[in-house]
Amino acid sequence: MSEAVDYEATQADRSKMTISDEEVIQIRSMNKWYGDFHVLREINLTVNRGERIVICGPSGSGKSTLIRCINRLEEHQAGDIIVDGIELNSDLKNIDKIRAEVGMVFQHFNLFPHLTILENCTLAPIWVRKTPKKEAEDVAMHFLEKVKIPEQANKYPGQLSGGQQQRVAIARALCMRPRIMLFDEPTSALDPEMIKEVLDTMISLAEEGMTMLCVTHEMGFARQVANRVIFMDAGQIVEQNEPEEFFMNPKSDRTKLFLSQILGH
Amino acid sequence: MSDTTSKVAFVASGPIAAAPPPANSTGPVGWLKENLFSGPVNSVVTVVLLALLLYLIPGIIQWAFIDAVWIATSLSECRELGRGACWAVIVERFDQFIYGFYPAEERWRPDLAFLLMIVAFVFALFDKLPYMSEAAYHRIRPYGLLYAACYPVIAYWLIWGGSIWGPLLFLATPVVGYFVSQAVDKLEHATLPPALASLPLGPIAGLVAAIVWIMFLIGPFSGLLGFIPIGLEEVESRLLGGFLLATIIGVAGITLSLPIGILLALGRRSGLIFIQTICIGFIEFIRGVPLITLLFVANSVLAYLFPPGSNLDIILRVVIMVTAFASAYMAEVIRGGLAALPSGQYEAADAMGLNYWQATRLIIMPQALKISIPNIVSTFIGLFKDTTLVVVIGLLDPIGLITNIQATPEWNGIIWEFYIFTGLFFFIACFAMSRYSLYLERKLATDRR
Amino acid sequence: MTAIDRPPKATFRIDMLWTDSRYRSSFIQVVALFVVLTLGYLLVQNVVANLAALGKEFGFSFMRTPAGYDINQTLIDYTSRDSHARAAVIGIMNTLLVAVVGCLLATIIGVLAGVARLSKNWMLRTVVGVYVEGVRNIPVLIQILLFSALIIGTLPQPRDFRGEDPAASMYFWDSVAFTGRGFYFPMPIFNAGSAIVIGALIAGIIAAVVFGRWAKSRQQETGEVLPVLPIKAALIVFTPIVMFLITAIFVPGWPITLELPELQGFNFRGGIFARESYVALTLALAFYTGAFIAENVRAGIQSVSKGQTEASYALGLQPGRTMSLVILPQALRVIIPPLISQYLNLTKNSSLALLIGYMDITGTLMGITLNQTGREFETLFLGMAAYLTFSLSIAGVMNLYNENTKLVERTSATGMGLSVLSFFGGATGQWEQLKKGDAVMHNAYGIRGFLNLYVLFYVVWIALLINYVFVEGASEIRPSYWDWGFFKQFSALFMIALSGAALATCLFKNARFIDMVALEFLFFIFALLVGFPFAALTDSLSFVAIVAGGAAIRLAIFGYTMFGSQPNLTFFHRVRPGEA
Repeated sequence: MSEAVDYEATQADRSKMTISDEEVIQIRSMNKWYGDFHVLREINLTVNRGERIVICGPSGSGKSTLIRCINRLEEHQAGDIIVDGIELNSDLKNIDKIRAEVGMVFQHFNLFPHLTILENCTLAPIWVRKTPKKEAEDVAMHFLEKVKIPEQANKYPGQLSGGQQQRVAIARALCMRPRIMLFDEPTSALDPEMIKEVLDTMISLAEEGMTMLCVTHEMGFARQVANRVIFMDAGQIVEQNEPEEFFMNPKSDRTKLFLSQILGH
Repeated sequence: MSDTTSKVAFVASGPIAAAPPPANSTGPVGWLKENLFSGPVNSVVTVVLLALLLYLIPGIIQWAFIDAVWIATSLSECRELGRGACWAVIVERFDQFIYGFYPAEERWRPDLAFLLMIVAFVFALFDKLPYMSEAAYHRIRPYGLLYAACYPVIAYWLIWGGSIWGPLLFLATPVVGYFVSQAVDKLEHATLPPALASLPLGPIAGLVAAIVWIMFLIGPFSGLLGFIPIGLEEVESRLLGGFLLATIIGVAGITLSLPIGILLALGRRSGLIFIQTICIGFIEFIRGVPLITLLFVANSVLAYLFPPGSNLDIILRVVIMVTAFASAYMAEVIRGGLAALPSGQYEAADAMGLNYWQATRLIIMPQALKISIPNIVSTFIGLFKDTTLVVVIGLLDPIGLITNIQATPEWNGIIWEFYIFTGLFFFIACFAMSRYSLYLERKLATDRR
Repeated sequence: MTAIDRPPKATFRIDMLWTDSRYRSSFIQVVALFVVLTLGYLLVQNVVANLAALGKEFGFSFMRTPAGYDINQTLIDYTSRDSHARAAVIGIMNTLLVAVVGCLLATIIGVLAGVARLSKNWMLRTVVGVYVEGVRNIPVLIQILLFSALIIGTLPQPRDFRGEDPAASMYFWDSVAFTGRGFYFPMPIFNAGSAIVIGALIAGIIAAVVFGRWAKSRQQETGEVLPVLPIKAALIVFTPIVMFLITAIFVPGWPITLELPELQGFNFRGGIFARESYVALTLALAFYTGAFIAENVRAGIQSVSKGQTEASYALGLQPGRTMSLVILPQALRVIIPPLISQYLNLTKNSSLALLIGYMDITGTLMGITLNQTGREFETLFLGMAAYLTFSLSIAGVMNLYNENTKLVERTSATGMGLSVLSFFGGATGQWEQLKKGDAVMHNAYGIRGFLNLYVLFYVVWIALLINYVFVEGASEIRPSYWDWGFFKQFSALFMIALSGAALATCLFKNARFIDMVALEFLFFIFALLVGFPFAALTDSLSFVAIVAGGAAIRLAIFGYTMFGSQPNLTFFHRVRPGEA
């Protein structure tokens, strides 16, 4: 699937991607259940500022649930999550603070169909960050230019292609100036030629030093950009390593099986 | 970057077994917490509702069941026997609620008509039956459909009675039309100029013959055949009442409105400006006025529109107006179905070389009707509920009967029991149908995947 | 002979009428027209023959004869000596009273029940579910009768309020009485100085609107979000209260007092009296329609995908803002169209008032007036026209709403707008093209602008015509050139219909200017033929003034359309789909 896309044209420049020692996300023995189903088991994860983490695993392994817990779209029942020094608990103020700092991109874009592209991008800055409208629009146009669709600003989401919509979704998240970006399978609802335009956008974001957690099956992207790959299965983190090591020399049997299925043709 | 490597590498020692969720998040306690007491507001709501129900339900049960009187001959006797509901009136007048004032010894006729109706519907609606091999059903189905087409006349004769010859000759109309059209078809090729040859003269002649047959010939012929007295005792329309009447009007209205509604929907989408205007005008007019005014029209004005001296039966007039009413709504439902079809279907039909009517009959309508079934059922539910309105023009539908029974000295003063009984009857019928349509909707949604 | 043998040019043959695609549709329509006209002719013949046999006439002059019956609840003065026309107007007002109050109550009930059906609380969900399913599946007539019986049978009679130890008592500090005869509410009495208080209320509302705009522009400039809703509410509520108190200091007595219903003899006097039949009808219709609205609300909220909420939360918007900025704007598009058709249903169902003795238009015009005068045709015609007017106006509003809020999609799907207005827009106009363009363009075009003038013009014109035909000069309309017999009264009605059509044409965006001109032309030709006395329409305006004024308005409109700030080309030529 991922190999169909040609990445040679856009080589990421790893030298620009720096990682600091500051820990922005700390997850300690976090557990989550759906009813009786134990969906996340004893998750421990620490993310430093500037890290690009790719999370992969078979479907139903809990990878989406994991990143949705980080901005509390899902509630965890045991363990701690600390984002940017703020503990994530049932305190609504903390949740609001964290959500403003964490951007998220969804598999199905979830653009607001009743608002124009520009309004999609300025909605949260105006109402959450209390930015003046003019300024918010300038910021939005800046990011729309960055994702290379400023000319669509006054159109509605329904008028754009899937790839364009996903780039708008990225711009919309960036307009909040987040410190962390979460990507939940951003390319799996797209056609191959559109996957490339979205991945290009994500690569350039990585080069700017954004902290990113991506749930994706794009192994080429993982090799090129990630500094860590996490493999999840049955609700637990089975293996994590640097991409080179992870792909060339997987340790766990489950990882080997998964990689042979996804890569080995 | 290299110094982070050691920090990063990690392999799980083995699978972590699934642990049970924390107590009080599952099981009955978890359910209660999740569904009834998930916050202070919710807890208050639960408690208030519970208190309200505990306050109301025992009283209702006491009145409706424990203290209720089931057998008595008058209200005063009821009151002596118990303080609760006087269901005795329903028990005593149950037959009247079903049949109205239909003569008691003839009531097997509506019963039979009802049974035959169910058989007709089975043939018309189902393309396979349980407990019957498909091949066998397919062999008998054409006859079944023929029977279903004849059923309205049979039911008419069963319920209203009278000589058998009129209905029988009416059933012969298609046969007459067919023979005339065949005869004209043969004639046509021999004698006509080529310019007219492309007209469907056979069918036109058949249609004309059928109209002439119905309007001018059936009467005298049935009169002639009258010397062979086969027939049932005649029952007057004003004797019909109760749920029998509601069913007659509802079923007649909905079955007649379906074909008319299809034509109106097609006309509205036809693009022929004059036909479109007529269809839209009719649909929007009917949908814009209350049914009750149309019933007034049936009662007082409709008779003026027919030639002087033609004495139309009141139930027939009501059925005409109810059909007009239902067909306007049906047209909109079917138009919705047509609009929901992807345009590719029309294009594919055109590309196959089908003409308009072929495409409509073979490709478009079957799909559009299938999509519309849930809404057709809803329309029917609405119509069935609306049959109660015929009380405004003095027909004895269930509500008309209530006033009638309340006027008798024995039962004067009873109110609630009547409304509860009729309400419950309609609720059961309509709720069952709405569940059925919901089931169809779900089935349709999975079929289309 | 040349090598290429061209087929001979087709000459017209009679069978090409039904075999050639050029003529076929016209031919079918001519045949249909012929059939319809024949049918119409036969029907009219039958009606004329039947009426003649009964010795009846057709005409509306009976509307001006005294009605001779009383109406038990009226909004304006009425006695039995007033005309049938006035009785009909009373009926229409009573219908509207039920419709407006019923729609308001039904909306409140429906929204609450719809939201409750989505509640996390199982108990609430179930109880509301039982209400919704129960009410939807029982005929509304039974429910109306049930409510009527409930009020008459269970509430105390006014005499129960009498005595030292009364069996019943009033509520809310003796200001409201619920009796089996009806409900009594306090009535506000406007004394000296009340104008100041009402003025303060209006000023408060204006101030709230102004504040809202100011707050919005301030937010756009500085980003600061003010608590707009509480401040607006305070402005509207406290301004009149403060003025009320201030006025009370300077003017003796309170500016507004309440007249409480008081027990006198065996009945209450004073206050506002809502008759039991009205209360029963309104409540029953509100609960019945509310159940349907609840389903619409539920479906509307559920139609907004969960992803929208998640995306909004992920951006940091709080639940309240998510609801008002993301969920509601989308849900309302789904909720409002069926909501409006529920309003329509409620209005139509209010005709069942007849069965519990509430005198609405069905009870007066189509009930007692019909029975007394025996004019079935005329009364039913007028009654149906009244209902049609309600329905079509509501449908028109719905259409405008639908047009203005349609979601912009990449491939615009064929919608199923159910309206009479679309009747005038056989082909889709430039609007369709505009929708595919930019949002800026979307906002620039629309119904705004010069059309309001034209709409106003036609509303006045139709009102004048109706007034003339039914109230002032019905019997004076005489065709001057020949005798139209049965149609003589219909001439004016037809003109009203034409004007209505022209009005509807104005309302529809895709209509061409030329359509309107054509309708008006028809109208004037017709008026000329029947010798319509324009000058009789109003006493003050002369014929010349009407013609000159009309011409001036048309010229102004023409100028505005051509040279105004937003020239709208669709009014001159229709853009067919596919033509960019």
